[in-house]
Amino acid sequence: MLHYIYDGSFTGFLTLVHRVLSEKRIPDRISGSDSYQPDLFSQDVIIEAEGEKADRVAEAIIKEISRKCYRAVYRCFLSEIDGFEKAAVKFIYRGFHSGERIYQDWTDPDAAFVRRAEKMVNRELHRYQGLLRFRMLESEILYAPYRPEHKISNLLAWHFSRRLAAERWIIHDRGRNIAVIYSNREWLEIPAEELKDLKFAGEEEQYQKLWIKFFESISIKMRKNLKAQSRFMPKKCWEFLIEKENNTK
Amino acid sequence: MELINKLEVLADSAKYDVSCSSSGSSRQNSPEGMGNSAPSGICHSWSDDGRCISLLKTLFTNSCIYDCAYCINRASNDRPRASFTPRQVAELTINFYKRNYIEGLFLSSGIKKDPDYTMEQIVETLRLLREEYKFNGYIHAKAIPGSDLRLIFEAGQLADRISVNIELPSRESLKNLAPQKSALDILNPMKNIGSRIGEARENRRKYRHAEKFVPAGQSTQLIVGASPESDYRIMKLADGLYSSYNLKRVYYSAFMPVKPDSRLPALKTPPLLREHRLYQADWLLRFYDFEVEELFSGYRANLDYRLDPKLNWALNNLDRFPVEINQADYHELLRVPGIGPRSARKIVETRQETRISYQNLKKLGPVLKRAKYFITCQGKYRAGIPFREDLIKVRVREQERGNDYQQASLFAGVQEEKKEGEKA
Repeated sequence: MLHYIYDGSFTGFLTLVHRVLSEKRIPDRISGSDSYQPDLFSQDVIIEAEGEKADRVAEAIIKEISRKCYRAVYRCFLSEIDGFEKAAVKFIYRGFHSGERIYQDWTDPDAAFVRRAEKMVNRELHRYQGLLRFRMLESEILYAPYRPEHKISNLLAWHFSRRLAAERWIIHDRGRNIAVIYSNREWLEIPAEELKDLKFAGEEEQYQKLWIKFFESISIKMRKNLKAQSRFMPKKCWEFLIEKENNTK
Repeated sequence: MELINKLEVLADSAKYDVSCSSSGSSRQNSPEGMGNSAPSGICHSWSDDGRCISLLKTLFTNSCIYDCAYCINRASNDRPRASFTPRQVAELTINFYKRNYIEGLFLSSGIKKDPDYTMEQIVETLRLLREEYKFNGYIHAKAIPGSDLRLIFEAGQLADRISVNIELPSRESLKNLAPQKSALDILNPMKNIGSRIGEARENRRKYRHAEKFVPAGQSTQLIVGASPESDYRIMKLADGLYSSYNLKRVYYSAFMPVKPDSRLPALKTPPLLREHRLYQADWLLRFYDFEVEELFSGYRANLDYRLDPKLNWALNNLDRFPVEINQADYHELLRVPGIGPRSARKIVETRQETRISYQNLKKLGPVLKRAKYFITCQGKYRAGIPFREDLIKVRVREQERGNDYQQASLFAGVQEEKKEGEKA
């Protein structure tokens, strides 16, 4: 049994794809190093991430299959749902034979997997574009903690880099404990341990109060419908939602 | 008055405005600016009534010289009054936006002093936001009926969306319930905004950098159930507004009694189901190529509230069914209950590659539970009953009752709440 182990990064994953394509063999198992469990019977191959190979694979996917498929693969990668690596690898492998049609192939289970994962990521991304809440720190940095299912911080960062271009901000994935730090039109990912001494600015409490007051005032009592509210805004998103966080404690 | 109390009063007064849309604009940020708008729109929260919150929806002031019977802010209503300054609104918007509470601002107002004074305040707020704070997020502003057209146009250059509320579905009702407002003062700005939007769009087709004017379009709102107009009349009006005034959206708002008045019906609960059916009918006009007349067959004046209007139409026109999935054109597919624009498109696309089997049809997204009564797939009718009018009607109605039960629960909370209110 062939078992590929890579470092869990997208570059590492694309390097792995490079290996699969050049050896024309799909491994039986793939693990990111975090989830690696040694197995007596398998032939373990550790794949080191190589930027150059990864770039070549990325370009080839875009050119030989389509940009849309590349995008789908990236989002499938971010979904981190069970079995995403193998489905994505098989999807790419087949894509090099059948071309861009693979994306529309409703009968291929791997294509269906990738599309579904992409959809889940897009949906969560759109949800947090609305539900992420920044808090102003004393240092005039905006700080947003959240706990997403998928690894969407980079995609969110892209969204806010346009929107809050002249600000400085941090998006903190509390589940994975990774933070994205943005300033001066650039952002990078750091381990969240490096975030220290987060103190809210003096005015922060006032704006939170104003927002909660607005949230309460805008609701029409005669149309109260808590069911609809939690259908659109499930409880799992309330943890860091200023207007709801006190309801979860 | 403290800022927080002002916000409480003025948001509370603004909540009856239905629109919360933040879509349709693609304003880009500037290097030193703040904000942009997403063409798809983004919802930032949902309030306890289940409606989405996307904009800081507030009045500039809830003082009003008018005394319209249906309005919570009518001059004779005894309630706290407050006014913002343009800077207060701008500061709130910026600080809420920065924290990602909102997608932008929805600014409406009661009429203080006179229409021009009020419109000037709105324009001043917009100007502050766009020019001084370099705000590029979404702005929806009300045009105040009776104010100078030049002020309204100025607002149109700064905002993404402008709306003038038509309030009631007919001139007579307006005269009866809002005697100080004239229909002309409402329709005139709508018409002018509409044609200016058309011109701007035309110009931008020719010159990429031509000025933007109300890029997310014009909308309006009318109250349903405060006056005697039929659904037919309301849909005719909406249809006319879409086609001749370049309107993007008409919003329908179920009438909620705010203060007893002999000119108004005494309703216990707002007619939410009627509002829901009107929205469905409105969708049929805009996305399904329906004509108003088709929805009111047999000279009915009102929609049949028991069924959604598309299903109702199909049951009344069974001679046009069943249609064959592998042959019907796009427009015929669009008429099938359970098939929407998206699945109709997918069916047409897939058909070019291969014949569609019933198994594959499922994957293309139509709601087969409903659609199966109206289609054949590769010649086979699979509703489980023969294609006979009487059988289908019984079966569909039965099925929808189960559905309606779910839908009714959507509106159920309303009545409970009302009972509590009555006790208090």
